[in-house]
Amino acid sequence: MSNVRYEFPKYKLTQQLKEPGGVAVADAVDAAKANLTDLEPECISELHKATAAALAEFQRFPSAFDAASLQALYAISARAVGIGAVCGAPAADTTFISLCNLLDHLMAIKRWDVEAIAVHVQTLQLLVANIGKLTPPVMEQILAGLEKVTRRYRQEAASAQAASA
Amino acid sequence: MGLDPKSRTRFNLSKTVVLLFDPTPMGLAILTQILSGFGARKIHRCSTIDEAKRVVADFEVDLMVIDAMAESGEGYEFVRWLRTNVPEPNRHTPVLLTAAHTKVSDVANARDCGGHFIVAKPLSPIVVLERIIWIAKEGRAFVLSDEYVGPDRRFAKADAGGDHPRRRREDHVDLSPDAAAPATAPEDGAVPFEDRPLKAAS
Repeated sequence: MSNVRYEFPKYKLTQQLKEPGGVAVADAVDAAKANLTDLEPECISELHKATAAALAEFQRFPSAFDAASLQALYAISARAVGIGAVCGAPAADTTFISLCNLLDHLMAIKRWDVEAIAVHVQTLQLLVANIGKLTPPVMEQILAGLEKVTRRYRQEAASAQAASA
Repeated sequence: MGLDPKSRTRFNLSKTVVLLFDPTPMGLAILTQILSGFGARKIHRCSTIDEAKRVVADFEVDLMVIDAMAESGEGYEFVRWLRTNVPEPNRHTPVLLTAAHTKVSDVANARDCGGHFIVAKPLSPIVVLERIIWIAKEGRAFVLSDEYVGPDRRFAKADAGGDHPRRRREDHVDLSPDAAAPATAPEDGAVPFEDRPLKAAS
C-alpha cells in the first residue's frame, strides 16, 4: 500500500503578489505585448530559419520508415512553436503543432507517409513567404486541410498507445 | 472564468525571484519579455537544464517557468528532480510548465512530474499571468507519495471549507483557495492537471 503524506507549504509568491505597489493587470498585459513587439523582426527571421530547417530535414528523408528522421523533424517543429504568434503568423504555429501531431502519430504506429508530411512543409513555406498577405478565410481553409491530414492517424495512434500502456 | 485583461486589479512581482528555462533563444526571449512586462526584475534565464539546476542550487527561487522540451521531455524530468532531490524551500516552488506539444506517450509524464500547471504554446501574456496567479493560490496541499511528489492535482475541484466566508481585498488579485479557476482548453490552449484523470495514489 502506498504511503501518502501531505504538506502545506507557504509560497513566498503568494505574499509577494499581494504586496503594495506593483502593477495593474491591464498595464502589465499591455507592457508584455509591447515588449513582444520588439521581438517581431527577430521572430520573422527565426520563422524563416525553422521552415528552411524543416525543408532540409524533409529532403533528407529516406524512402522507408525511419524513426530518427521523424524525431529530427519533430524536434525542429516543436522548437518553432510559439514564434509565429509574436510576428503576426499564428497560422505557422498551428502548422508546426499539426506537424508535431502528425509526426507523433506516425512514430507511434510506425507508419511512413511522406505525402502527409510534405503537405505540412509546403504549407509552412507558403505561410512564411506570405506573412500578413493571406486572408483569414484562405488560412482557415489551409489549416482545415492540415487537420484532416493529421486526424487520419489520430485514432490509430491513440489505440496503439492504449494497447502498449 | 478567466482574468479580465482590462482589469485594474494589481499584483506585484517586483521582488519575486524567477527562473525561466527554455532551450531555444526565441522561446527564452519571449518568456523574458512577458515576465519583464509583468514587473518581474529578478529573472534567471536558463537555456540548459544544467544551468537551471545551478540556479536552483544557488538561489531561493519563488517561481519557475519551465519548458517541457517536447522532443525529449527533459523539462518534465527537471521538475521531477526538483520535487524529489532538492531541499526546501525550492522543492515546493510553484512551477508553470510550458509545452509546444505533448507526445501521446508523454501525457502521463506531464501529469505526474510535479508541476503546478501546464500551458500550451504559443503563449499569450494574459494566459501566462492568469496561470501565475492561479498557482500562487493559498491552501494547496503538497503530496508526497511513492508514485507522485508535487502539488495536489485535485485542488481545482476542492471545496474551500471553513465555517466563515473569507474576506477578499478587492484591489489585489484574489489568491484565496476558492478563487475562480482559470479558463481551460481548448479555449486558450491551457490544460490544467486537474482536468485529467487522477492516479489513486494522490
